[in-house]
Amino acid sequence: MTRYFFNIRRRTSLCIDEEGQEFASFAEAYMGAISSLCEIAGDSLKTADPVEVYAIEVTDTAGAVLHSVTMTEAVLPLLPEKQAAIV
Amino acid sequence: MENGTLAAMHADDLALLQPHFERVELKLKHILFEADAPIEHVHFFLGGLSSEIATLDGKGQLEIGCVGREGFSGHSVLLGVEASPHFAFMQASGSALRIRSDILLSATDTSKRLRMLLLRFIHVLMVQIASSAVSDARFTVRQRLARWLLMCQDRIGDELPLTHEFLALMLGVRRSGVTEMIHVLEGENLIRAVRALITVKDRQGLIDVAAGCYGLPESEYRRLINPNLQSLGTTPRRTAS
Repeated sequence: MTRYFFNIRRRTSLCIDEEGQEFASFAEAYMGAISSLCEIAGDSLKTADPVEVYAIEVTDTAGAVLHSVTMTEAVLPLLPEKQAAIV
Repeated sequence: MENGTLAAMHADDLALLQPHFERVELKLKHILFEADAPIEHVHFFLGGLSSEIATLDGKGQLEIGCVGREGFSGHSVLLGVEASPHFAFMQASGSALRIRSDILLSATDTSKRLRMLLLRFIHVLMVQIASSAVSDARFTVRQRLARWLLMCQDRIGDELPLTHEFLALMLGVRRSGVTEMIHVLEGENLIRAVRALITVKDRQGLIDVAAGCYGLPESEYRRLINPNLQSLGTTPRRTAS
């Protein structure tokens, strides 16, 4: 298990994750960031509020950014335009 | 230190229970009762904070109720049930007076007045559980976090030793949702957050953020159990920043 940190980039600020969370692999941490972004978007959309978070930066314990997972990357594939055509 | 339900109890009823109370110190994460195991004791808290947790099919856990010095744990006992599919543990340490479940149950056979008081508290708890359900369905993470911080402040004071991971379990969301909203509430100057310690700075501000998802179980408690228990959703307090 490896500890990864999810810093959250908002439109106007950066929230530093001081706790981190353990994942079996970077791939799992990446999927965790995708799920988190979807949940954050869903929470804002519940009340038709603007989505303020635009990315989660997955970092290692030294603070190096391994990947910046964007809201677009998480949410866009779920939109109907991106699905197979429905007749 | 006192317990709000015991403080509201008739002296004769209290005298029935008093010889059977045992004072215990409950550490953080102490299990009050396990799922599907007999609930041996009912705890009347003098401090700290307990959480009752529901799990479904081993997937996902969610806090459904929290009780501190206003009441007691193990209410299923008084509903005639030995064991519950839920479990309960201490999320902040504190002391309690505990009593064996069978002794408490027979005392409620002796005194209808005692039984009615304890059942009224169970009603308040049910209102709290319903209020959590409504909050989860209709309110945002920001509003629910504000509600939950207020419920903690009512029971353990302004300094809340809570990790984001723990808050995520309480609110039924992923940790990042908590990290973001703690940051937002801190930016609004309502709380101060240092690693695993959240300090409430502006109670009224949090009540405003909660936008109505906080307060109903607290007012039911004051109406039905004890109007005097200090700070259980009563006077808005502002602490020095």
